[in-house]
Order: sequence, then C-alpha cells, then structure tokens
Amino acid sequence: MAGAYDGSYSDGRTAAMHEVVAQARGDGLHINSKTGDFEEHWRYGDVRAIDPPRSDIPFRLTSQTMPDARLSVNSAEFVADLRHQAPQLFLTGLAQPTLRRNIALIILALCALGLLLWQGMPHLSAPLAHLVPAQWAQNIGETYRSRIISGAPVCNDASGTAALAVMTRRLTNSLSPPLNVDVIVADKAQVNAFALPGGHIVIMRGLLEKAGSSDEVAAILAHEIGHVSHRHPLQMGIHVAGIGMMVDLFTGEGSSLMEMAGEVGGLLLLLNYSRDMEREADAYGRKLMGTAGLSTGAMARFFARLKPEGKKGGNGAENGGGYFSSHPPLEERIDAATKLETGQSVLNNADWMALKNICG
Amino acid sequence: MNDDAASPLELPPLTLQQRGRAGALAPIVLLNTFLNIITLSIYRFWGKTKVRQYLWRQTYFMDEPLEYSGSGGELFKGFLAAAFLVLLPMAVVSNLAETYLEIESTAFAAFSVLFYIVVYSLIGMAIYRARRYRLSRTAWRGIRGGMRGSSGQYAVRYLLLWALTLITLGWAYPWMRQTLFARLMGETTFGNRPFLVVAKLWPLYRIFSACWLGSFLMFAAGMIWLTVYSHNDNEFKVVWTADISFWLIAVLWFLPIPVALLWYRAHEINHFAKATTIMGVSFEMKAGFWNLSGLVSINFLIIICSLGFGIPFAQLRTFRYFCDHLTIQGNLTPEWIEQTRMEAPTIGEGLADAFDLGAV
Repeated sequence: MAGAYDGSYSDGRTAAMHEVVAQARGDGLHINSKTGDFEEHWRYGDVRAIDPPRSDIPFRLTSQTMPDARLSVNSAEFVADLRHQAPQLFLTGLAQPTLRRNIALIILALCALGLLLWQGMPHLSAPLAHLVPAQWAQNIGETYRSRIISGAPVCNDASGTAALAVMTRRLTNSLSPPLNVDVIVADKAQVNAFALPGGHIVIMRGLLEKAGSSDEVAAILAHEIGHVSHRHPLQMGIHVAGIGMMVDLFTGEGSSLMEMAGEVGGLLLLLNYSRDMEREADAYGRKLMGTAGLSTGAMARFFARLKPEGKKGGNGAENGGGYFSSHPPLEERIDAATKLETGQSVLNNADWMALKNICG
Repeated sequence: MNDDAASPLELPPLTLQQRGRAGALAPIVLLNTFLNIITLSIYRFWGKTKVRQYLWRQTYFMDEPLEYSGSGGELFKGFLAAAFLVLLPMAVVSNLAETYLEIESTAFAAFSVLFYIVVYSLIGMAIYRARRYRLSRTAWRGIRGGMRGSSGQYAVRYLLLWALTLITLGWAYPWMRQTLFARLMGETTFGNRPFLVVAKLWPLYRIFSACWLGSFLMFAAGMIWLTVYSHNDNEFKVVWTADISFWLIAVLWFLPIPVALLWYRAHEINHFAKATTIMGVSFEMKAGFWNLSGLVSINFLIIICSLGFGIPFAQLRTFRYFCDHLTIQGNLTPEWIEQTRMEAPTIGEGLADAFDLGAV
C-alpha cells in the first residue's frame, strides 16, 4: 500500500496553491485536495519530473495532460514510492532520451560544420574566385604580401630588378590574354616562393641563393605564375575567409581561445595548396618554360638540389618547408619535370649574378 | 494528517530569495567549459540552459522555486535561424559594399549609416525577443511570464533614443533609459497580469546632471592641466611633472565616467523599482554606489580571470544582489493570477546570442 504524503498543488489555471495529499499507487499518481474540492489522477505515462529529485529543493511533478499544473512534495519516502512505481522518471545519464537526442544533435551539427568546411568551401571557392574583381584581388594580395614578408625589406637593387623583369617578361610574353604579375624578392633566408591574389608573387632571397642557375629560378617563377593563372591564391583566400566566417558564426560568443585557433588555422591553410593545385601549377609551369624555349628540366634540378635536405625531415626556414609540405612527392615531380629537356638559359651570366645579388 | 484542512492556506511572506551557491554551480560550469571546448563551443546552448535551470530553481518567490523550462535545442535553433537568416546575409552585404564602393565615397558613407541603423535596430529587437523567450520559459507555480508588446516597436525606440543620446552628448540618456525600461517592464506579464510602470523623469535628471557636469569639469580640468604643462619649457619642471601628469590625467579622465555611471545606475535601479507595480504590489530596491561597485567590479574580475568561462558565477552574484536588495510590499492574491494566453515563441533568442547580449 502506497503511503500518503502532504504536498502542495497548483492546477496551472491560476497561481493559487492548494494543500493536497499525494499517493503513488499502482494505477498512477493520485492527488487529493485536503479540502475535498478536487482530485486528480495522473497516469505514470503522462507524469514528468520538473527537475531530478534533489535534496535542496522539493520534488516537482507535472503531467502531460495538464502541463501547467505542478505537484510539489517534499518527502524522500514519496520519491522512493514513485521510483518504485515509475522508474522511467528517474533515468540518469545516457539513459535519458532527451540527452541522447541532444548529443546526436550536437554531433550532427559538428559533422555538418566539418562537411561544409572541408567539402563545401573548396567547391564554392573555385567559382567564387573567378567572380572577384581584379582590383579587389589586388588589394587582398597586397595585404597578404605584407603579412607574409612581415617587415622584411623588399630587395630593389636596380640591375637585379631589371634582370627579374627580363625573366618575368620572357615567361609571360607568350601569354594571351596577357597575365598581370608583380614579382618581388623579399630579403628573407627561407627557400620559398609564394603566389598571392592579384598576381603578386614573392620570391624569398634564400631561394635565389639555393638556385644553381637562372633557369631554376625561372622554373619556380613559372610554377607560381601557374598558380596565378589558375587563380589558386584567391581561391585559398576565399576558402580561408569562408572558414573564418563559419568559425565566427559557430563560436559566436567567441572565447579568445577559439578565435586564436581560427586565426592560426586560417593562415596555415592560406599557404597550403592542395596537391591537385600544385600539379596544375607544375603542368602550367612546364608549358610556360617550353613555350619560352627554356629548359624544362630546371625545375627537376632545383628539386634535386633540395632533396637531400628534405630527406633529413627538417621543416625549418633553411630548407624551404613550404615546398615540401604541400607539394607532390618529390620523386614524382622530378620524374615529370625531367621528361622534357631542351632550351637555353633565360638570363645571361651578368644578369643572373645581378639577380642573385638583388638584395645587395 | 491535518483535520483543520479547510482553513485557507497561510500565505508566505512576499520575498524573493536566491539560494544558489557558487559551490553547487561549479560542477555545472566546469562540465560546460569542458564540453564547450571539445564541441567548438556548440555545446554552449545546452550549457547555458543548465546554468539557467540552476539559477531559476534556486530563486524562491514566496518560498516557492521558479522554474526554467527552456531547452538547449530551442536556443540552438534560434541561433541557426539568426546566423543564416540575419548574420550571414549581413556579412555578405557588407563585404560586397566594401568591395564595390570606394571607401571614401558618399555612397559608402550612406551604406555605413544604413548598416548601423540595421544593426542597432536588430540589437533592440534582440533584447526584446530574448526577454520574451526567457519569460515564456519561466514559471512560478506553473504560471508563465511573457511580453505582450512588439519587438519591432521596441527596436524603433531603441534606435531613435540611442541616436538622440549621441546627438545630445548624453543628455537624452535618462529619458532613453526610462522609456526603454517602461516598455520592457510595462509590457512584461506574469500570467494574465501586466506589470505597471509609472515614473517621473526629473529625479533621474537631478542625478544625471550632477554626474554629467562633474565628469565634464574633471575632463576640462585635465585639458587645462595638459595645456599649462605643454607650455612649460623649463626642462627640470617637465621631468618633475611628467609622473604627476600621467596620474592626474588618468584620474581626471578615466575615473569620472565609471564612477558617475555606477552612482547614476544605483539611483536608477531604485527609481525603476519604485516605479513598478503589479496587482497593487510594489517594489523597493536598496542599491547603493558601494554595493553596486562591489558587484560590478568583482563580476568583472571573475569574468576576466576565467576567460569568460566564469560568467555563470557573475550571473549568480547578480541574481543574489537583486534578491538581497529587493523588498516587496503589498498583498498578493495568487488566485487572481491566471495562466497567460499568449503564445510562447518556439525558438530561442538567436539574435541576442549573435550580438552577444548574453544577459543571463
């Protein structure tokens, strides 16, 4: 026989509180007014607990048939009686269906976000890159460029600059429609080169020092022009901006931790072309070298020069980590680049020396 | 059992108490922090709900706990709606404007003004809607709260009054505050019963003008000191006064506004409480400069030191502050408060989340 417990009850129609007696019987919860005004019978299937039972607050119940009604009983024995009759009211942890649903919802949201970032963005960014006006691309490129060279001086020795212009013209002359590229050498020790939105190309001094001939530099330049021609930098820029926007959206109440993660991730990604993009740029670069009547094997020679250092597994500034991290396996690229071997040098010896010493 | 049950239930005193403890809140906050980090903060909607459930159920009106019935899923849906229907289009539009309009053109200026108008209206709307959502999920004895006005009308006033406050160098501030409070509070309902707000404006202006003039005089004094100091060409004196100048300017320029604001706010809180009634029940707050400063500065420290994760502790302190300093007078007849007939919003405060208006 279930015990009878004092409780208070409000029917959900007004805020009036009534003294009642509650009993957890076999057929459901019985609530009887002490004044005899009313009685309620809630079946266990309809009963819901407002909060799980806690020692610091009275145990409150409602029924799905009267969702605004509240029964409040401050008695551990009553809770025990009810637990015996309707254990489903006392599920904890993963046994609660709402918790399981919420977890599913969160995982789904995370997956959707991930899918959007990794699949949606690349597909969106390519067509978008072609819609961006040239002036905008120029401006973005300039911003990125100053960020990448981060305060390092731009090398501007007059004869070196002239030699660089000769090399650039030689490569881009044959292009129709003409392609606008703006090549600078930054005074940094890294063996690296970047293509940026708006046709900006940055070659680091370290790369000039490492190169054995002007053709090797021309091959790298042709490769970067390939990126420019395919609008890869802009595509990555949009990709990163999109990711930044999504991260901002989702982390909304941005803790600075999340913002930092987003920022760092974005910058890393910006210079990290996909392998397909690198292959496209490689093919384009080879074609450009061929059209200009230059040695298409130069690329291979340059990579061969890098290779032993790359094998050491270092990723530091000295061996041009950028070129190893994202570019197709070296062997494959050397193979692809050695297949064609013709042509003459892009710069005469004096010009090549001038270019090498462009940073003074 | 009591045979004397026919006697009417004795009404508990009209008190509002916050019985929550930081120690009991801590496990909830810790778990939320952990889950926020591993879910890239998507868990925050559910976490916020858990905190609210705690704060609400530890708030006792007439010895009966409040109840928060909102869910994380509702907040999440509200967020998705705001993100994709409002924020994303706005981000796209502003990006396009920055791209296609000259930054220094009149067209861009016009766009910027329009953009701010939209943002400020949305903020006003967000404040109102968030309040509506929270009240509709707040129940006492099963009776829910609500907002009976329109968020659009509130948004218009919010925008215009803020603009007026800027134009009048702050002199419209008390009027703005009181008008907005009267709208928010005067359109708040508890069950079918509205709150009433009847307030005079001049008591606020008495305090405000003292605050404004005081701050202005201090600022002017700083300006005068700087002018005198900069015309002092005696080198010895310059060195001697440099330190003093720094501290003097710091005190004269940066101290008055927070101090004046806190002083004004303490008066304002008391003034607003006095102006509010419901069913003949009146309120009195005893906020003062020192206790309010204590609340605000310690909350500030809590939030800063915890990188924002400790916000719930600050909220608990704010709740307790209001409950501790509030006295309620009059006779409340709960039977006269009937359940609200207003429809509750189905999704939660997405806009407020988007604009970071996380009051609670």
